[in-house]
Amino acid sequence: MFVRKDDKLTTAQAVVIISSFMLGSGILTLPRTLAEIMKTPDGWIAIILGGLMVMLAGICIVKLCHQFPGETIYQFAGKIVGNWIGKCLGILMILYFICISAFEIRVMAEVTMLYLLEGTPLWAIIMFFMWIGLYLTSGGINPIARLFEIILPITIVVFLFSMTLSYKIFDINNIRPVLGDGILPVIKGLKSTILVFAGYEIMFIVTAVMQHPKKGVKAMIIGTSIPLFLYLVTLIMVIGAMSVDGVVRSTWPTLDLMRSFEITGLLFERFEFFLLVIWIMQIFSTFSICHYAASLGLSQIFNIKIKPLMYFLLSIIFLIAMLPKNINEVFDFGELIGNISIYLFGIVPLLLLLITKVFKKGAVK
Amino acid sequence: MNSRNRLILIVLPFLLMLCLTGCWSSKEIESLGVYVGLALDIGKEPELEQELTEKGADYPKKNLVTSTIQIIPVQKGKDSQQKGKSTSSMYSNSTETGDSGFQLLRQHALSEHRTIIGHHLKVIVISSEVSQKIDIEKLLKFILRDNDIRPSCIVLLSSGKASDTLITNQPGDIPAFHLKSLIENQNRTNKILPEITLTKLDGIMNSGASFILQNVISAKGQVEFAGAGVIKGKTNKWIGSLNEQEVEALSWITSKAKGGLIKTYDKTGEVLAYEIKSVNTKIKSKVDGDDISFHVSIKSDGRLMENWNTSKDPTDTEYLKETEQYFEDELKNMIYKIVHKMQEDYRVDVAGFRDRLRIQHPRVWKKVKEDWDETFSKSEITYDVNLNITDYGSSAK
Repeated sequence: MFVRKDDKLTTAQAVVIISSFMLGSGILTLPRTLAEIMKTPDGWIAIILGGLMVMLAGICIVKLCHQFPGETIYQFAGKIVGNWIGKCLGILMILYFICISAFEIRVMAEVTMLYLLEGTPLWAIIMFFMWIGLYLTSGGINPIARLFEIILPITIVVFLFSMTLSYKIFDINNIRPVLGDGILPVIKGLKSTILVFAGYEIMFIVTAVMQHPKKGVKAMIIGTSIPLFLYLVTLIMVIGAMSVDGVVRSTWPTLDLMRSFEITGLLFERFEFFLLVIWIMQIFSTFSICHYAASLGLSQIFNIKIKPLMYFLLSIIFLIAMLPKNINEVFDFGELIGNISIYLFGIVPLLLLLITKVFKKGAVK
Repeated sequence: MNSRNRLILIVLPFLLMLCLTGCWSSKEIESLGVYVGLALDIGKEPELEQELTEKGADYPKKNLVTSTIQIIPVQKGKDSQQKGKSTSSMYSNSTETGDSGFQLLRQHALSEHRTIIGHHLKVIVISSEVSQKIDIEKLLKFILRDNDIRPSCIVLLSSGKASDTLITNQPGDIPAFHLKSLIENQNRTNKILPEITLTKLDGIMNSGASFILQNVISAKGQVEFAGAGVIKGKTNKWIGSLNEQEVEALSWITSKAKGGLIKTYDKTGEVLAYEIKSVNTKIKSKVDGDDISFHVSIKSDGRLMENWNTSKDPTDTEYLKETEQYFEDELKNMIYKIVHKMQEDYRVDVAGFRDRLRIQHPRVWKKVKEDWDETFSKSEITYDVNLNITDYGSSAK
C-alpha cells in the first residue's frame, strides 16, 4: 500500500476538511434559528450572504498563513503580536476547538437519545463516540483527511437524495414572498448563518500542511460552497414544507421534515434514519478535526508530544460535553461558541493580517 | 510472541464479544404492540371503564377526553386460529378517559400485556364534539412533542363519535389504515381535501389561520369521508362544517383539485357531467386604502363525460359551448355559496386568501393579520370562471 511520508494534504483534501468541519450540528437547527430571528421565509438570502462573508474571512486567514509558509497559527501568532499575546491567542483558539467539539458531541448525543437510542445513557453514547474519534485523530491529519474524503461524498449523495424525497410536501407558497419585509430581517439573520459556517478557521492549521498552499484560496471557496449549497437546499425544503410558523415550533426541524412523510413502495418508508446516519458521520468528522486541532495547538505551544495530549483533551471534552444541564443550556452553549467564533476568526485574522502588512511595509522602507 | 502477549490476544476477542451482545435499549418486537389509530372523543367513561373505576381503577383526573387507540397486531390464540380468519378481527381498540393525553396513553400500560409504541400511528380522528369544547392544540400538544409519533400522521374530524370510525365490519381490514388510504383517492374526486399531517397542522395552528379538516362519518362499521369541519383559528375550536359540495367548491378556489367532476342539469333537466383534467386558479388581491378585495379567476380544461340528452351532438362545437355555459353557471353557483358561507355564516377564511395577501401585499398583510378572519369577511370577492371542454372521450355521439 502506498503510504505518504511527507504528511502533506492535497487541495481536494483541504476542501473536504473545510466542508466536513462546517457540516455539523447546525444543519438540524438552522431553519428554526433563522425563522425565529427573521420571521420571514428569506433565510436563503441570508445563507448566501453569510456564506460569501465567511469566504472572505476565510480568504483572509489563508492570506495570513501564506506569510508564514509551513507554520500553523500557534507557531506564527507569536511572531506577529509578540510571544505572550501570541500564546494567549493560541490558547483561546484551543479552548474554542475544545468547546466546539464538546458541543457537537453533546448535540449528537441529545438527538440520538431522542430518536434512536432511547434508554441508552448520555455518557455511554458520548464515550464510545469519543474513543473511535481518538483512534482516528491519533493517526494525524492525513488519515483524518482520507476518512473525510470517504464520508463527504456519501453525505452529499444521501442528504440530497433524502431532501429531494420531501418534494411531496413542498409548497412554494411557504417560501414566498421574497423580501416581503425588506432587507432588514436578512441582516438580522446574517449572524446565525455565519455561525453555521464556523469551521473555515481550520485553514489556520491546514494551510501549513498543504502540498500547494497557494491553492488555499481555491480550497476555501470550494470548501465553503459545498456546505453553502447543502444549507440552501435544507432551508428551502424545510421552510417550503413546514412554513415559517411550523418551523419555529420544531426543536429539530430538518429531522422533522424527514419524519413528515412516508414513501411507500421504495423499499424504505422512512428516511430520517438515513439522515441521522450521515449526520452522525458529519458530527464525527467535526468532532475529530476539532480534537486534532486542539491537541496540535497544545503540543505546538508547549512543545509536548501530541499523543498524551490527545488522551488528556479527550477527558476534558467529555467533561465539558456533560456540563449543560438541559437542552436549553446546550443551545445557549452553541450560541456562545458561535459568537466567540465571529470575534476569534472574523476580526482577529483581519487584525493580524493588517499588522503583518504594515510591519512588512515598514521593514521594506 | 511471549506467552503473556498470547494470553492477551486470546482474552481480547472474548472481551470484544461482550460489545456484540446487541443494542443497549433493544426490545423484542414480539413483546411490542403498535397503535396505528387514535380517536379523541368527549370525556365519557364507557361501561367497562365505569365498572373498573368502581372497583378502584381511579386516579385524580377530570373526565374531559376519551381516547381510543387501535392496537395491532392482535395475538391470536389457538382457538381463533382453528375457527379461521372470518371471526377474528385484526385489531383491538382500547379506551381510556381522563384529561392529559400523555397520561391516557400511558394508562394503557396498566391493561395491555405488551408495551405499546407510537412509531406507526397513522391517523388521528377528533370528534367535532370534543373539538368544539377543547382547543385542538391542547389535544394534540403531547402528540407533537412525542418522539415516537411521527409528524406524518394525518388528522381527521368526525361528526359522530370518533371511536366509531376505528371500527369496521370488514374482516381483515384495519380501520386506521383504511382511513389513511382513503386520502389517496384524491385523484378521483375533489371531495377529498389534501391531507393535513401533524407537521402542516402545527404550522397552521401557530400562524393563527382558520382551517378545515376532512370529516369522517361512520355507520354500522362503514366509514366514509363526508365534507369537512371548520376550525376557527383564534380559538382552534370547531365552529361548523362544510358539506361535500362546499368542499368541492373550495378545491376550485384553492386550485388543489387533482381530479373530480362537475355535474349539472341542462334546461330540459337531463344530466350533464364534466371531468376535470386540469384546474388553474389565480387569486389576485387588490388593496385600495383600507379596502381589500380579491379576484378569483378559474381556468379549467376538461372532458364532457355524460350528456343524457341524446338528441344533442357533442361533435357540434355550438353544443359544446352551450354545455360549457351550464358547467360554468353551476360552478359559479357553487363558489357563490361557499364564499357566502365563509364570509357570512362562519366569518372565517379557509380558502387560503390570506396566503395570497401575504405574498402579494406583505406590508398590508402585517397590519391586518391579527384580525384577518374579520377583515376577510368584509372584503369583496369577485370571480370569473372559464371552463374549456377539450374532448368527449371515446364516444362521439
